[in-house]
Order: sequence, then C-alpha cells, then structure tokens
Amino acid sequence: MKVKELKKTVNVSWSPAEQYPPMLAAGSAAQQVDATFSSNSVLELYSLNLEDLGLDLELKASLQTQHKFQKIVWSGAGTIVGGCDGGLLQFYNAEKVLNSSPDALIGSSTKHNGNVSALDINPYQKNLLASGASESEIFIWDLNNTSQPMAPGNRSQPYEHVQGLAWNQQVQHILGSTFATRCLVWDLRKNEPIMKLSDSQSRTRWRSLSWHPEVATQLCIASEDDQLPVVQLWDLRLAASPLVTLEGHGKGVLGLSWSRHDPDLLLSAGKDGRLLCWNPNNTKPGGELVVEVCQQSQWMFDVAWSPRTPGLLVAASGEQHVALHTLLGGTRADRQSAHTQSNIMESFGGADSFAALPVVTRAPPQEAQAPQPTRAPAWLKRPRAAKFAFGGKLVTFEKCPQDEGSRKLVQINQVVTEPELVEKSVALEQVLALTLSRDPQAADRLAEYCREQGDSSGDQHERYTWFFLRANFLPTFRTEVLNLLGYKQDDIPSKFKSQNVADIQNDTAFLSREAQTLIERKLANLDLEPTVTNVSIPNGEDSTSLICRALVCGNLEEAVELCLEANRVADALIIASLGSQELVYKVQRYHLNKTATDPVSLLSGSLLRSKWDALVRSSAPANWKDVLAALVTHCESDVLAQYCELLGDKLSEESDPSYRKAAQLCYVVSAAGDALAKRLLRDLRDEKRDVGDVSTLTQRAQLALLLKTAAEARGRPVKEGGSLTSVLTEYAGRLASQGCLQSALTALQGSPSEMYDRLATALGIIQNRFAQHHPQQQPYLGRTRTASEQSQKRSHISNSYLPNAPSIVPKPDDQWQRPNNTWGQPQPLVPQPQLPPQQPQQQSRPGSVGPQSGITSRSKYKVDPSVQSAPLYSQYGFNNPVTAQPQSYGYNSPLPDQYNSASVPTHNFTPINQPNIPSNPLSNYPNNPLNPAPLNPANQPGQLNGSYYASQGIEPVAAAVPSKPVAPGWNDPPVMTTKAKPKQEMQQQAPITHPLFGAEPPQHVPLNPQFPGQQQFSGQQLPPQQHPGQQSQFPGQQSQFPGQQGQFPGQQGQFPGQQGQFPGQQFPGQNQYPGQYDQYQGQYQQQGFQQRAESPAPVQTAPVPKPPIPDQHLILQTTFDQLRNDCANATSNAMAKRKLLDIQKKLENLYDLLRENKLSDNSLSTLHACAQYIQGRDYANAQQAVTSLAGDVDFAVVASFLPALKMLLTFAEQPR
Amino acid sequence: MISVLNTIDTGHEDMIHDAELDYYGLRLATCSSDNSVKIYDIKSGTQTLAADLKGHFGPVWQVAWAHPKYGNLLASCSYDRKVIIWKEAGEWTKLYEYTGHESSVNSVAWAPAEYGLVLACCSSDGSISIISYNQDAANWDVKKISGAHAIGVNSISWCPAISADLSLDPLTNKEASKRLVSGGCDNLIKIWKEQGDQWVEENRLEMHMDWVRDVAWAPSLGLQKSLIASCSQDKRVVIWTSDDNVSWTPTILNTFDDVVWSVSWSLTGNILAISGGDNKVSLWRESADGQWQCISEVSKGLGQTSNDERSTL
Repeated sequence: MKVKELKKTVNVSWSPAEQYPPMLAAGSAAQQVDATFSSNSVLELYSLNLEDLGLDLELKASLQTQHKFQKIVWSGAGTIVGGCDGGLLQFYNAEKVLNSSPDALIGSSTKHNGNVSALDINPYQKNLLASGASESEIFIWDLNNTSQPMAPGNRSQPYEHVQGLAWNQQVQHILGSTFATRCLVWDLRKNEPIMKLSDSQSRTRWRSLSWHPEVATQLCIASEDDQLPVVQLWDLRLAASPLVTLEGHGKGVLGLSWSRHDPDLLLSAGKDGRLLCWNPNNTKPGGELVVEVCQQSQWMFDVAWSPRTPGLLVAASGEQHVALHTLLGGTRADRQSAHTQSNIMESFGGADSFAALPVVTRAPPQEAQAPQPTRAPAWLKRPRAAKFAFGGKLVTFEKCPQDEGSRKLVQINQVVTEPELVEKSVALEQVLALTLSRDPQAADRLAEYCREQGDSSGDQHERYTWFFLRANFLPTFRTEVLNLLGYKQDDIPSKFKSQNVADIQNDTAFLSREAQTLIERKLANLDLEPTVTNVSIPNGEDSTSLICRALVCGNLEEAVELCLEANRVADALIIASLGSQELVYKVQRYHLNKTATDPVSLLSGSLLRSKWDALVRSSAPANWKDVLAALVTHCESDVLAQYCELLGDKLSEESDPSYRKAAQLCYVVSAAGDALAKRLLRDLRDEKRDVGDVSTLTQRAQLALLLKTAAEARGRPVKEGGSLTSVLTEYAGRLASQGCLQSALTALQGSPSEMYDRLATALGIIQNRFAQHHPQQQPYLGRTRTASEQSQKRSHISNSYLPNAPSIVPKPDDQWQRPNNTWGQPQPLVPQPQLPPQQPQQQSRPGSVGPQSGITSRSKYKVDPSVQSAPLYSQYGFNNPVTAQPQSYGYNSPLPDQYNSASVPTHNFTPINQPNIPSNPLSNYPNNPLNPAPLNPANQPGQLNGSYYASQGIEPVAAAVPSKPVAPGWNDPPVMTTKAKPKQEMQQQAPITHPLFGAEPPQHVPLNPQFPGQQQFSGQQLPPQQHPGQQSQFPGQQSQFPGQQGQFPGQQGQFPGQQGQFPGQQFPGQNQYPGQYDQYQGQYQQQGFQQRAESPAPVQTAPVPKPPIPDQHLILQTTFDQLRNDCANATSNAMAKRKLLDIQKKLENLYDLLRENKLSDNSLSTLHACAQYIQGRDYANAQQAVTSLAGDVDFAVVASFLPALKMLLTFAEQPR
Repeated sequence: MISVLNTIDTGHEDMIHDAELDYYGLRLATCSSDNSVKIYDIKSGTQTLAADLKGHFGPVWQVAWAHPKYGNLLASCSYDRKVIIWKEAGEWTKLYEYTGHESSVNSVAWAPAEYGLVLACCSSDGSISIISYNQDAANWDVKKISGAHAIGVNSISWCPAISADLSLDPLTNKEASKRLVSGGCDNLIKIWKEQGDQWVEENRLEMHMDWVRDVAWAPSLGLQKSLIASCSQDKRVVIWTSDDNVSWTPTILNTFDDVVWSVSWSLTGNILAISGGDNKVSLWRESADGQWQCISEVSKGLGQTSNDERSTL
C-alpha cells in the first residue's frame, strides 16, 4: 500500500535505525533530469508524517547544494554522505542539515574518479563508509576523519565501474562489491578479495547486492541485464553456482533490499517498473515470489526497507517520484496527496466547480483486493505472550523452536501475589464453611476466630472491632457488648452499696437484679418502721390541702394537676396511675419535657416511650458508649440493630475520627453489614487510601463478611446489592484472583451474582447441580455439549443472570436463607403476623396498638419482646394487686406477637406475681431467678408509680410451673445452662415460621443474651442436606468428553510434516505447481495470496497423478534417481542429505519437463549422454555434458533442474 | 508466586500466537501460524482437545472468548484478512465471517458484555472495525474507523463498562461512553469514543518511539482511576492513568532489554503481566507511593530460543 509520495527526482536514504523520529534524506538525482531541466540541486530532509493520513511527506529541512547526487547514505554517526559525479563525495552533518545551517557541509573528497554511485555504511561501525566509483575504485572511509581513505585491497582487474557495495550484516570486516561481470567479497583484515562470484553459465550483468541479514555467507545479487533480469542467491560456501535464481522481472533488476526484520523478505526493483518481494530462502526453482508490491510503467531504480519500521519501504522510480509503501495494508484508494488533489482541481476550474461535480463513489473494493504477501511477515508473528485469566491464572507461551516435531507448548500458571490474603482466607473459610454446613460448633468457632484475630491485632480499634464482632457470635451477646463498653456487671454491686437508688437507676437501669434486691431491702427496712399514725389531712387552701381534697373527692385529674402545680411529680404520678392511662401519660410527658436536659429524664423517657432514636439524637457523641449500652440493654434485637445503626450514622457524621471508629463499632453491634461496608469504604477514601490496598481491603472485607454471617445468624439477612455486596464481591474477586475460588465462593455466601455464577461454574458446581436436578437438561451456559441444548442456551443464560433464579443457581444455602428472608420481611418495628399459628398474635395486636394515640412509639416497645425492656414493665406493675385490667393499654400484650404464643391474650390477666404462668416458659430457666414476668399490666392505674424495682425478680422462677402447656416437645427438659440459652432464645426469631417454637421465650432477663445462637439455625431450621455437594460433584465433570482423546492424535496425521519450504502447502492451489512450469513464469501475481486463500477446501487434495515419462526417457529418471539414492545412502551427513532431498525435488522438474516433452532434442540427447556417463561412473564427463546444457537454447527451461543435476554429480564425484 | 498448573502440548505445527482461557478458566483457545485454532478443555492438570478449527488461510493472530451469556463464542482473526466468529453448537461451526479488512487482522476484542455482543478488530490496513450483533434483525452491523493508524493497527482493547467508583451505582453510569484504545504502527495510542453512531478519536497518546505492540485497558474493579498499559517495539512499557478518561498521564513502567510483546492485566486490575522478547514474563504492581515494582519475574526454559537462530559462521 502506498502511504506517502514525493514527486521529485531524487535519490533517497532512510535515516539510520537509531534516529527518532525516522526521516528520509532526499538529494536531487544526478542520473536523471526531471521535466523542468532544473539544474538546481538540493538536499532535503523529510519526516514521514505517518500520523497524517494524507500522502504528503513533511519537509523538515532543505539545503541548496552545488552538486546533484548519484547516491545518498545516512550514517548512524550523524553524517549524510552524498556520492556525486566526478569522483566527488560530500559529507554533511545531519544535525546541521536539519537545522538548515549553512555550514552543514562538513567535508568533501575527490579521491574517486567517475560517478560515485556505490555507498554503504558499516552496520557495526557506523563511522565506516565504503564508496565505489569508476575503475574498480573502492575506498573505506572513517567518517570521523575523511582525509585518508583506505582501499580494501588492490583494484580488481579488469577495471570496471563499481556498481554496488554492501557490508556483511553479520561479520563487520566483510564487504561485498559488484561489478558488471563479477561479485567480489573482501576481507578487510586480509586486504584482499576472498571470493569472486561469477555465473559462468549466464550473461548476468550485476548491479546491486544485498547480504542475508542473518546468514553471514549468503547474499543476493541482481542482474540488470534485460535478457537475464534475475536475482540470484549465492552462498559463499557453495560458490560454484547460485542457490536459487529468482525469476520474475521482465527487465533488468536495479535495486535490492533485504529486510532486516524478516530474512524471508527481499525486495527487488526493476526496469520493468515492478517492485517485487521475494522469499529468497526458498530455493525452489525460479524463487518464491511473495508479492508484487507495485507496478509502474517507468523504471523502478531503487528500493530500500526502512531500517527502523518493519514493512515500510521507499522506492524511487523514473516517474519522478519517490513513494513510501507498506508491504501490507491493502489498497487505500481514497488517498490522494493534497498536491494531486489541488492539481486536479486546478485543471478542472478550481475548487468550486470541482465541488459542483456529481459525487462519485468507488465500487466497494471487496472484489479487487490488493494482493497480500503469501507469507505473513515475521514482524506480525507474536512469538510469546502472557495473558491473565479468571482465577489468577496466567496463560503463557513463548517462542518455540521452529524445527519440525518440536512441541508447541502453552502453560497455565497460577499466580499468587497475596500469600497473606490466601492464608487468611483459608482460615476464615474453614470457619465459615462450618456455618454453611450448619455445624453446631460454628458459632463457637466464629467467636474463637474473632478472638484470635482481635488478639493478634496490634491496633486497639481493630481489637475492639474484632471483640465486638465476636460478641455477635456469643450466646451472651449483650453481656459481652456491655462488658466491652465498660459496663461490667461485676462492678455494679459495689456501686450500689454506696449510691442511692435513683443514681443507680440512672446509670444502670439494666442491673435490675442488684437493684431489686436492694429495693427489697429498702422496702423491708421501711416495713420495719413503726406504722405511721396520726397523719393529719389538711383542709386549707394550700396545695397539699387542695390535693388532699381532690383525692378525697376522687377527682384524680384535679389532684394530679394540683400535684404538678406544687411540683410534686412523684405524687402526681401515683395519683395519675389510679386514673386513666391517659392521665399517666400526661404526667409522664409533663415531667419528661420539663426535665428534658436531665440525663435521667432522657434515659427514663427513652425507656418509657421506647424513643431510642430520641436518645441517640439527644445524647452527646462522647456518650456513645453509654447510649450504645443502653440500646443493647433495652432494645429488642431488630430495633437494636436499627438504633445502633442510627447511632453509627450519627457518629459517622462527626468529624472526629475516633467517632468514626466508634461508628464502626456501632455497626458491628447492630450487625449492619451494609452500613459498616459503607463506613469502611468512606474511611478508605478519607484516608486517601486506594481501595486496592489489599491488606486493608482483606481485613475489612473479612469483617464485613463475618458481620454478614452474624446478621444472618441473628435473623437479619443483609439485602443484596448494597455496599456490603460490593465489598464482598470485591473481596471474592480478590480471592478469585489468587486462585482461591472456593474461598471466594464461600465469601459470596451464595448471593446470586455474576461472580457467584462464575466461581461456581469454574469449580464445576453449577453444572453438576444441574446434572442432578435436571438430568436430561444439560448444564448451563457454556457447558452444553449437544446441538439441541445449544439452541436453548440463550434463554438459559439470560435466566441465569436473574438474581434468585433458583433453577439456575442453586445456592448452597438456599435453605438457610429462605427462612431468614421471611423473618426479615417484617419491618423491625412493625412485626407482621404471617402464618396461621399467629392467630393469637393478631388478636393481641389491636390491643397493643389501639388505645394508644399519643406516643406511637410506645407500641414498638410493647411489640418488642425485648428481653431487657420487659423487666422494666414488670416493674411498673409492681405492687399491683389487681390481676389485670381488660382495658389495659396493652403495654405488654404485644410481646407474644413475636412468640406467637397461643397464650398471649391471657397475659394481661396475669397476676403480677405469677408472671410465668400463662405462657412464659420461664420454667426453662430455673437457674435464672431473674427472669421476670414477661409482661405485666403495667399501665393499669395505680401501677405506674410502683417502684422500678419490681418484686418479681425475687420470685423463684423454678416454682413457676407453666399453667398452660407450652408448645409440645420444645425444650422439654429444662436443663438450661447459660450457654444453652441461646438455643432457647432462638425462638425469638424463629416463631413466625415455626409453630414448633410457639413457646414463649424468656423475655425479661436483663442480663440474658438475646443473641440467637447459631446452633439453632443450623440444627433446626436448616436441614443441611443440599448444600455442600461441591466436592463430590466436581470430579464427575472430568469424564465428560469421551472420544476426544481419540481425535487428537489423528489430527496430527493430517499434516505431511513439511517444513516451511513449501508454504504453498497451506494453500492447496499450489499443489498444481509441478508440471506447470512454463505457464508459471511471469504469472506470479495470479498465484497471489488471494487466489489461494479463497480456495474453498483447506483439505489437501491428492496430487493429480502425473502422466508417465515417455519410455525412451525413462532411463534418465532411473539413472538419476539411482545415483541420487546411492549418494544418499553413502552419506551420513545431515546437511548433505538435505541437499540431496532438495536435488530430488529439482529433478522432479526435469521429469516433469520430460513428461511434457518440453525439452529440445539437443538437450535430450545431452541428457542421455550424461546418463550414459553416469552409468559408466564417468562423472567428470557427465558434469561436462550437463554444463554444456547451460549453453543450450532452452536454458531458461533447463535452469530449473540444472543446478541440481550439477550438484548431484558433484556429490557423485566425491570419493566414497 | 507463579506455579505451573498445566502444560499443554498444543500440537500446533507452527508458532503459537495467542492463547486465551475462557470466562471460567475451563477452556483454552490457542491459535497458530499453522492457520488453525484449537480448543482444549482444561481440568485440574489435564487437558483434552475439544476442537480443531480450520477456516483461516493464514496465520491466526488472536482469539477472544465472548462472554458466556452470549453462548460459546470464540472470535479469531488472521493474516488472511478475516475475522471468524465460531460458535459451539454441538460442534464448533462458523457463525459469522467478517471480511471487511484489506489486510491482516491483528487483534480482536469483545466489548464488555454490558454493551451487547460487540467485537472490535483492527488491521494492518490501518482501520478498526466494530462489529455488533443486532438481536432484532439477527444480523451484524459494522462500523469502521478508517485510517485509525497509518500503516497498521496492532492491538485494541475496550474500556471497562463499569464505573471505577465502587460507591456509585453502576446503573447510574449506564450512559458512560463506550471507549476503545488502540495501538498502531504510527507509534501512537489512540482513544476512541462512541458519539452517536460514530466513533471519533478522542485522544492520541504519544510516548512510544516505535510500533505499539499491545495495549490493555485495565479492568476497573476496585480502582478509582483508569489505567491503560501499552508496550512497544521500543522496549518500553508505559502506564497511562486518567481520572476522567479524557486527560492521560504517562508513566514509563520500565525499559526492557528487548521488544515487549504483550501486556495483560489481572482481572482485579492491579497486576500487570508483561511478556517480552527477552523471554521473560514479569509481573508488576503499583506500590503505595505510585511506583511500579516488579513483584515476580520468570524466565522460562520452555523453548530453546537459540535453536532457531539461523546464524552460522
């Protein structure tokens, strides 16, 4: 493809390979006069301007010169040398030329005679120049000192013009030179020619020469004789005759250039205007034409590959121009130089009228594709690569030996760049795997794991984080958290002893045990006091009197108002509790609002109204621990999470980084994986750290992962798609990138995603599950094997990307998640009864919600079966002699909601001291005397003012035998250690789906962990059947492709194993070659790539049987073959054997000629004579006979086998 | 750090030019100067020849697996100017043959699956083709960038579809422009952007001093910025970074002893594998201070490279 052109009559030279950017030097040509007959002479430098799609080169510098140039070379030493007429050599400093400096000419010499038309720069010593001119003069110049050139030896006789010079490409002291009749090779160390090449049999007139870029002893020489327009490849080791003669030009060949980027590519430019590209290393007769680069009507007198850019070449032609071509690239028909375009426009009346012409478009070039080289150039052949693939795999291959039979290998490697990550993930995965497999030990192991991590962590915050996380897996979750927050229960009793009750309540409302005992004591003390007598009830106008009066009259409301007026809040409360609930509310509200800034009020108000969000909002950030502790103490698990998260969010907004860390802890406590993940990501950003920081990511992802596990274990599955999923997906990606596919799969925990699908398929899990469940419907995605399935595939695939499409991606923990999901559905604050067994729950709900108008959140509290909060309610009920009030505000009634206990309604009628009777399976906790009654009609009038330290706690729980049977079978043996409790508590989550768990759990155990033990999950709800099938299923895949082994070896047999010698074998068309010799000549184009490439059948066709050789000539074949075989048998030299093989091939040409009777009688008789000599073992005469053939008329025909025959005889002559 | 899992004797009869594992890492496709494409099933340490695809009439330069959601599709490009999309339907057959290039097709790359079934390929004729499957019409649309790189395009790579920013919902970035990066024989790297139904040159990155052999746009997973790696005949590997995909900053990762042939990002986008003429595969990672460090280097004794040197004397 022509890419650039220069419409000038110039000689050009490439800038040296080192030069960047590459340029062209162009000097006005001395050989020709251009149409302008200009005597002006310039040396110009052009940049290639390849970035631009136009055809114009970009002129960089122009220098007027005195002389025109016969030849120009540009040395890597920074000198441009011009050979001129009259023996003149001009030396220019390239740099200065480029700067258009007037003193660019740095030297000149007239040592030569005649035109200096041969110049070459030594490829190894860039300052070494060889020049040649008339009378066999050759000089070697040191460009650093051009005063004293040396001669490589004596001038060769007869004196002739030096046509070409070329330094050997491998051995720096070897120089080749061409004269019209001979080619001399000089060894500069010996100062004499070491080899003279001349083709005695032909009338070649040598012009250019070019050394093999890699094989030091080989060179190509071009003949400019129109009668013999050939290029010959010679090997100095076999200097008797050329190895191959490249025949293709119609007229003399002027220019040669051998590509240093691909030794299989040699360019020749001829007077016939053709620019041909050969593979000179193919010694088939006539040579292998690779492609015709271009053809013009005028002489093509020079050509040169770019020393720098592979495939780029410059050609100079008699059509006044220099053109840059690329070997590849097809046609670019739409390209025109701006120059041409404007020329045309001008001729047709300027741009305006030009534009007015109808638009023409070329027919699509589809049909007439430019010929493409039959062989792919070496520079396109990527020899090696390394490519990453899924799972941290790296596929590598590298340049393999080209010889036949060498194995072409590809390696698949595992890359592990984060061994630490791998190690950690393995440890974690083992633990998590237990969870997934419902191992009862899972929670313990998880907790243990967290502890280990915490212990090993150096950072205090990290330690905290791990320990808080650990708490999530402990049955004693709340206690743990409180401990961590600094509310050690052991500390409390001592405090109690020294502090008054109110303070204690303020600080540690949850510590009801101690409080109760204390209160009991106090009460007891009070009781011991002598009964008060003689209290007078005033009857005046003071407040006390008024209050008394109101009380006496039963006007509770007024009494309350008066009390408030008198700031007797406690009295107001007691009185209000005798009246309507509303009244109580009012008093409460009044008091709380009035003392809003008081911490006690804040806490007790929050407690009373379950307004934890208010607490979170109102408290100082510095008090986060206390708030968190309060939340942990009082909130039922669902809301706990919510409020903790709220607290976390609040802290998150603080600027103090320590609060942000605190926020993390809050998230950990709330098991709010998503929020934590978000927080972590934000932290990373805040810390300006790349999320790519692996160790950080790993640690945090593990955290998030565990948290997610915890959340699920606690019945609050994390929603898909949030930050947590992102982090986990990222983490899984990391793991996968280290080859830990199984760990990655575990990390994803079955959330359906592309990543999950990818991992599972890579591990062979998905496929096999499919095989199990849909025996006749084969796997999925790419794994199908049969046609019918293939056709269905698309639909499958699309399915598979739908999240939760169960048939596609059976998640290992499907079973596990489903129940979770159902629990997850009820909003934490508004549990919705879902299943039939919840009947009672529904009934009770109205009671809990209905009467309340003012403080809606109150219902939350009631609804919440919070273990902790309940005792407080029960405290309200303290001293209440009344069993129950039907119109109860339902404070407690909702509790059963959660537990769907059939006995719930009876709650409200429970006598205060028998809290357990209706439904509370407190009996299951004989060891916990603190289990208070779950609910009490705390809102009954008169109750409210009761001491906070209710009496129930005293009651020996063991005695509280359920009056109603609890759900059968559940936890019948009440052997409950604290450890075992979580099992029990599991019911808190479980009930909705499991009527089995209908029994009410112990709700009001302040110190009781609420955490749902994992054993529960694994043991009961989640039959572990489905999940862990991977291992066993995997191997099954291997046997999937029967018979394929068989295909493979067979395949190898298809190739006859030829080396690169006959590339045509890849193109069936070439098979026809033998026997077509005549037509073959000059028709190279038709053999072009395209034709072959489009032959329909890549399969090798059997060679067409050849016609027999005429009987009378059969003797020739038998004789020559016999001789060849003898030679072959006689030698063990591999080289010789190859040579003989080659001879055999060429003899085949002779036989073909015989078959087709293409040889003249004269030649035939000579051959017969030769054969006779051979039979007589007179090889010398045979040789002579053969040589005489060369002079025959049909030399061109004979040439196809003559060298072979000669060589065969040479072999035969050798003594054996 | 690098351990060999499988060594596959491909049975190719000439140089291998590409080898790529599929989406799951279960199948290996290889292609070679022997004009064939082979597919192997890879199972823990063993491999089975699954198919030997013959349809090219010249060396096959590159193969690329499509995302499996589109089926088992493999694209191959060859010196014979053709791109063939192969499909496995019981057997492997040609699904589509693209003949729109006038010269050797040097590289093929499937677009991110989010864009649909779209293939980009580039050729020594200097042009880039973007071939997309039109589901409704059940045919292939072709858009062509002519004259993308004078004298040839060597390599092409897609900008990942998903935003780098983890906190952003990928869905909101649906409108993110489709981009391509190409490396050519004009020593340039060019970024192409789809605008309307046109592909326009958005940027040209100049740094290399010789042919750009390979370009690779890093998967964005977990990274906040876009990265492109390029390697060249000039023995250098350059990392280009951008925060907005518009302005790019080059960093020379390293200058090697020989031509660098291929660059490949790990799927997490943080490790770069470089394969060069010095017969070494090296892995590089950016350290916290922004320096690129070689974390592993493997010299292979796999092929005796000196064997095929033709040098004598």
